[in-house]
Amino acid sequence: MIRHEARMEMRQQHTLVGIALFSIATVYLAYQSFHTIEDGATWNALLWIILLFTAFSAVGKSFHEQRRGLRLYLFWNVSPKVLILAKLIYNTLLMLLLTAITLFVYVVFIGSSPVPENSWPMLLLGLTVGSISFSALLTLISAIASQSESGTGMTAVLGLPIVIPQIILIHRYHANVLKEIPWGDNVENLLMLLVLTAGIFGLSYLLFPYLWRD
Amino acid sequence: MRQSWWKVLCVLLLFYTLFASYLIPLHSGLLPNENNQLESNEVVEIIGYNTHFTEASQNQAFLGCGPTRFCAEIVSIDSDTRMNVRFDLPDTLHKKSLNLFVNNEKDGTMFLQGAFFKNSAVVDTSRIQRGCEVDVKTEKSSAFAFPFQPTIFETIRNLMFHVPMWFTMFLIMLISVIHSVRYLANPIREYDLRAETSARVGLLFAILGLVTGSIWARFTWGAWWVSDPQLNGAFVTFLIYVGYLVLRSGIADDMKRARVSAVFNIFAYVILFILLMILPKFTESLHPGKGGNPGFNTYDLNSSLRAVFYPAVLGWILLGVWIYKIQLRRNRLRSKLYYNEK
Repeated sequence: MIRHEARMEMRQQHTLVGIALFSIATVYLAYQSFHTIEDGATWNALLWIILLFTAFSAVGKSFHEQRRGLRLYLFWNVSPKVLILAKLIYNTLLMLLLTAITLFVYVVFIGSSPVPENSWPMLLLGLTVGSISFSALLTLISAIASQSESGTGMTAVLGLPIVIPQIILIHRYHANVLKEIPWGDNVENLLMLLVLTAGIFGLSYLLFPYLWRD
Repeated sequence: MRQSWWKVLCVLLLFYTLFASYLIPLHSGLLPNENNQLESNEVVEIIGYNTHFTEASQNQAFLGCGPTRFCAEIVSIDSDTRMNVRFDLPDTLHKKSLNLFVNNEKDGTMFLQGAFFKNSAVVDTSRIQRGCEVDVKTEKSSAFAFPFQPTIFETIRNLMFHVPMWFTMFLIMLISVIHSVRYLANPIREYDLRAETSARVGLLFAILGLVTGSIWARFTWGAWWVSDPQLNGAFVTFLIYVGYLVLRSGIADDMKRARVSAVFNIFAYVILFILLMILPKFTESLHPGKGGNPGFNTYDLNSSLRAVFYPAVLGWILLGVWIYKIQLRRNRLRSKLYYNEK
């Protein structure tokens, strides 16, 4: 199933490249307005805002692009639990890839002066957990939103408020990393986020079969 | 009539809340003086709030500074709330800020932290000056009154309105989520109707909670809105349930609408639960009981406050359930009419 998703995505290369381009363009736009950012808080906030919108455009559309025929085909041939697992895993991988691209471009253009030398591993760990968390949440939200007539607009209406807890947690974690606060005092933010993400995975797995009935 | 006893109870409780929370006075306390610079033997004014300086026969005022106490010579008592005193202070003090204590048999012992500063004093902790010997009475006034809290003062009455709104909202949202779960287990239109109606009523209480909280914040913290985990949580709750209603209006087919919105409702409630219950405990908050702030439970939810607060909570919850029942009947009739027309 994951392979199927990946193949589907490869066939629609324009969307993947489009989203990567979107995030690169956003970073470049930010570069034009800021040049380099010395202030840790701004650096952090800007990076997460760009990642958030990348996530919305990448993962948020994951159920919208299915054509009716494909939907029927999947409905008859695949159990919904397998489908949601495949979607979750695929979206997570996609999001990790996009995060890597965005981070690379971000560091190239805007620089990484606020990041202390030895904090990179913690920063990357935070980015990984954050991306997984975003993609998990937005997968189900996208599945819900795709059922309504208003399409992707609904993803934003439903997703933006509900993503705030994750943003608060990951943002605080990263701000602490940049301030070089000891790992022991900061790890609870990450653990909370992991618990939340696990909860989202569990809920998606349980609830998705109810959505997938037509 | 027999089935509506709880409605009568609700009205009685809310009347009680309304009268009690506005009529019960505040405990006496001390207000900070604008002129808080103190010199030895200079006459300063002590400003009380709800105090009985003239009525009381034995007024006693003294300053606390570290382990030392300095008694006041009472110059004149102008009114029940104003008193002029003079302190005889040495040049060497434990620290520059002095705590004020006032004691009389009517008001009990009142305390104001950092009431005065003696900036000309030399700080020397090794040479502690002997002050006066006071027999410190710690009895609390027995009057039935709300506690006198610095910065909160009279706004403590809002406790009876602001806090129960959130309790009610949580309960009503719980009703909503339970019906969403029941709908997914057993798709009957009635469950969907209940889930939607209670989400709407819960949203009403969320708005009331935000408004009462905002007014309270304006008069205690100085701004209509502050950055605080509790406030973030409340605002997110509000947005999510507005999103829920938008989602409902975005789906035309009613079986599908019921199913999809039930899924969203459950999903949102679990995330909200995590957000509102666990997140604020990890971070600093201006709310009582969080981030080192004392909770109302620890020492200052005194018996008089409890006597009003608990009935208030019950009263508001009953009102919420009542609104929900009426709305539900209205929506049931509406859906009946709608399906008959078809």
